[in-house]
Amino acid sequence: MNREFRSDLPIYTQLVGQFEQDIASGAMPPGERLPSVRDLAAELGVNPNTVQRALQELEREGLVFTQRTSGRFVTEDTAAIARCKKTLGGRHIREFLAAMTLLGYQRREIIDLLQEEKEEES
Amino acid sequence: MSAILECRNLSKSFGGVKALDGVNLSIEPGRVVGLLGPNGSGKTTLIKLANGLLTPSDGELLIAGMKPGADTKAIVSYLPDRTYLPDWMSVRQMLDFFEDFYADFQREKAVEMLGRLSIDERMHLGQMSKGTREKVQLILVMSREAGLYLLDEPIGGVDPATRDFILDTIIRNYNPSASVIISTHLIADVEAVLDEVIFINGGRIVLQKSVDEIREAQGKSVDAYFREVFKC
Amino acid sequence: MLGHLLKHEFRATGRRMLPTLGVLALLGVLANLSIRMLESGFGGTLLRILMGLFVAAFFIGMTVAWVMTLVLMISRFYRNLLKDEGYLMFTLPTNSHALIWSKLIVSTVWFLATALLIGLLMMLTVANLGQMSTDDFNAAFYGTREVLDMLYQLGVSRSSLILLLAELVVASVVTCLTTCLHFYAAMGLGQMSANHKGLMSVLAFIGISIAFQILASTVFSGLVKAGSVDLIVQSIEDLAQSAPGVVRVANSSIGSALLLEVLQGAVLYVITSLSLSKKLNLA
Repeated sequence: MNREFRSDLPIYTQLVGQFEQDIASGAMPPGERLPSVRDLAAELGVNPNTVQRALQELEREGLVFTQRTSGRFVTEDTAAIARCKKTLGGRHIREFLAAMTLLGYQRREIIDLLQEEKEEES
Repeated sequence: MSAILECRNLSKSFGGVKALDGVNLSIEPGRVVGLLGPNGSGKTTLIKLANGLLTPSDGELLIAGMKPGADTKAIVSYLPDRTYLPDWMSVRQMLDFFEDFYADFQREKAVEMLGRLSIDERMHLGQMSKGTREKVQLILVMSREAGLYLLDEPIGGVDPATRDFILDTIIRNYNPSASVIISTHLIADVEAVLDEVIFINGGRIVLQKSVDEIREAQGKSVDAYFREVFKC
Repeated sequence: MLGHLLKHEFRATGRRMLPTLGVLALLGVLANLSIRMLESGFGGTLLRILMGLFVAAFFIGMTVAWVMTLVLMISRFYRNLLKDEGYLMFTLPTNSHALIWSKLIVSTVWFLATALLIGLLMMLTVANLGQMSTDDFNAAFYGTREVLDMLYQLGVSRSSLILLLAELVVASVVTCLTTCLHFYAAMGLGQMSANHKGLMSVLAFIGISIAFQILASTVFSGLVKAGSVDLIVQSIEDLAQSAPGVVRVANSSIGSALLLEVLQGAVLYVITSLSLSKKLNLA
């Protein structure tokens, strides 16, 4: 995971974002056991309380669950992971659209451009 | 939860010059706190008072509810801004020394960390470079299961690898019932490991806030915010 | 805690003092062998010069050992407590009393050890120079017995002689302690200075000496005025008429000197302890 953090956002929100990304993309597969808070903190070079807070947020979102004795795991609820993926994807699309709109493109033109890009790739 | 460190109207003057002026603050257990301020702002004075190396001119300072003394020194682990290790002693003799005096000293932990840095226990401190001596001292200090760690400028003037070792040691050593206070003026380097920060200037506390709070409210890093507050 | 402090202090000083005392003992033995050989006219010129050097080295060695003990007493206090190492020592879970006592006890032990060794070596040398035989030793031993018997016959009690001996032993210990404390108090006062700790310590040392002199002479002149001195002199003269009286005078004069030394030591201890606990100012 990335050790660089942006300076304008709380570190825990950035951690939540990185975990969401990794879970949605499958980099952290369903049911995978997470390292302990201390190990994660050491690996990321951040305060353990910050890691704790990020994991609690992920738990609240249903992406991570705690088993009393054996630790924390990535959820096995694939529907929840799909929802997360969709939310993240939607966010990227909105950002993209906003940027394109700012450049003066109309919806139709954007779709055409995407189509062209796809044909070039294949 | 009761505070591990508490200052009530704490003042310290040196021959009429106020190094600390009416400081009020309270630090809970389980926190990693940055004590941030320019040089001469009173950071070292505050830490020396907490270690009983100075006595307050006014007000009081309490460690786990007690005034600094033998009982508080048993639960405070202090890294001063200089090396205090006698040249003639070997690392092993220093381990003996810490084991003799501190009931909370974990020798295995120290040995493990020394091994990680390939520092030979038979070496005498006088034979070591300044940087290695500083590492030995940090290892000794962090190998105690203390209630409060007071680290005065631990990353001042060390190379990046040592800085990472220091921060890593602080993180790995984290214990929910212990607090760590790191005094420094190099905020960017430590920001990620801090829970909260205390800004101090001219012997007064300017603010005490959580790092998240500052980033959320200001939309900038603590480092950037610090520069803004203390711009000259 | 004091036990650990003593252990550490012996470790720190022993690495200097044991070799010093060892070399001194060796020099003492070599010097005495040399004296024997020189007196028996043994060896050539070169060897005789060498042996002469041993004798000279022994006498210089005694002074060096003594100075070394003194310097070590001062430097251990200064370097271990008032310089960088003080950051370690004063944050140990103990108090300044234990720190001061550990230094005091260890320095006193080394002073007494040095004195004892020098005493033994000097006795050896004197015996050697006088070419004493076993018979001479016996004679000296019995001579001492005879003097004691004579004293007993004159009515001097055994207990008063034991008291005298005990007082002398205690006095030498107390003198060591007070001497150390004189230096400690001076350094304790000197360290309060921001920039001139060394110089201020020297000035404090001189200041303390002068203060005690003034105090002593004030008290003495007060006693003279009150006529107490005449009374004391009179009673000494009365007592000194008989042998038990002389011993009693010795007992009480050493006793009162001891008391004054203890008082002086106590004052110096309070100064040291207060300056280290309330006014500590590590550089």
